[in-house]
Amino acid sequence: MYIKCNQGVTFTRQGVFQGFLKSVPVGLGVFAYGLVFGMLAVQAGMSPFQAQLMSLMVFAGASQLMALEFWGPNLPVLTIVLTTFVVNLRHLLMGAAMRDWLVRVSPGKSYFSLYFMTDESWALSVKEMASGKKDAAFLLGSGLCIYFFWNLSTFLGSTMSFWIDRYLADPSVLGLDFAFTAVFIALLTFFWKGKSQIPVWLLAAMAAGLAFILIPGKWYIIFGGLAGGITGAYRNV
Amino acid sequence: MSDSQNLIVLLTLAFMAAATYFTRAGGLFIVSRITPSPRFRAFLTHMPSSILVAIIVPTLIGKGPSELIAATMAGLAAILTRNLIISLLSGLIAVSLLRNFVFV
Repeated sequence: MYIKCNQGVTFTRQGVFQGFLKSVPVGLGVFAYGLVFGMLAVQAGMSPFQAQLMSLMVFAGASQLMALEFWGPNLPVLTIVLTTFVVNLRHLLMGAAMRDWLVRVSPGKSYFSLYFMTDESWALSVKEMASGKKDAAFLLGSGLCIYFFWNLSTFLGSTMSFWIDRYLADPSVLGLDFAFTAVFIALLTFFWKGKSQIPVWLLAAMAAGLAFILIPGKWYIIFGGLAGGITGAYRNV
Repeated sequence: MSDSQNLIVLLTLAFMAAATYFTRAGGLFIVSRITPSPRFRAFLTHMPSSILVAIIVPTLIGKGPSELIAATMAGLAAILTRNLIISLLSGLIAVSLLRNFVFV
């Protein structure tokens, strides 16, 4: 059960375009969150310019929202940076999982694409890769799509903080918080390859569930990914 | 806000960006420098879907019946149609209807 693509990986403009287009539905969910981030950033005391700079430079929803918790006249810089690092550790696994595409294009293209990798664009791309598609530029296109919606909505959220607060303080009313779960579930079904998948996913779910209950933060993603990967490694070789 | 405060904000953002990029680039940096054994390849093959499982676990165990039912709807739609957008919409419509009218 190896990922099918091995040779002939390309990196085309069309791939960027495809990745961008296929990510627009998910981008709209990101858009709702960016509005909320922009609004909260201004309420936490950031200027709209600073909020925009954060979305352009850091581009990581969970860590940006977390940083707002610490925002104030005296910034605990080290705490914010370390927490950001820990919250984003899951990306190490995600980047490693893109190996079959990214080691076959130039390092410049790979490492540029990775700057824009988010949970959402990664999930869409890894599904493309696993289904045998060979255009590695999909990851970049998908990432750019999320980047576009995240930054546009940060701008609107921070500059129109007042109206956003009034009309869209809570995306869960529209069910928008569920958008990501729905996408990840749909992508997951595309990975089904038969009954040998069951123990892998069961252990991933158990490890993630335990970690979610016991450890604060995003560690549950790392534990789940490791548990499932290790189970797969020992049952399917 | 004073200049020194602005500088601290800018430095904080730069360090946050660096920490984030380090995690995004680090995984590839490591695995591009090794030739994976069959066992490690199998690990890399099974890790992505396991990460997807892990990401949805908190919503499934931590929320409520609306989310569980909507998750089932999204999953069924995905299996039946193989279409991401239809599946996404099924989940969204289900969860907003259930939250607003059924499990209020």
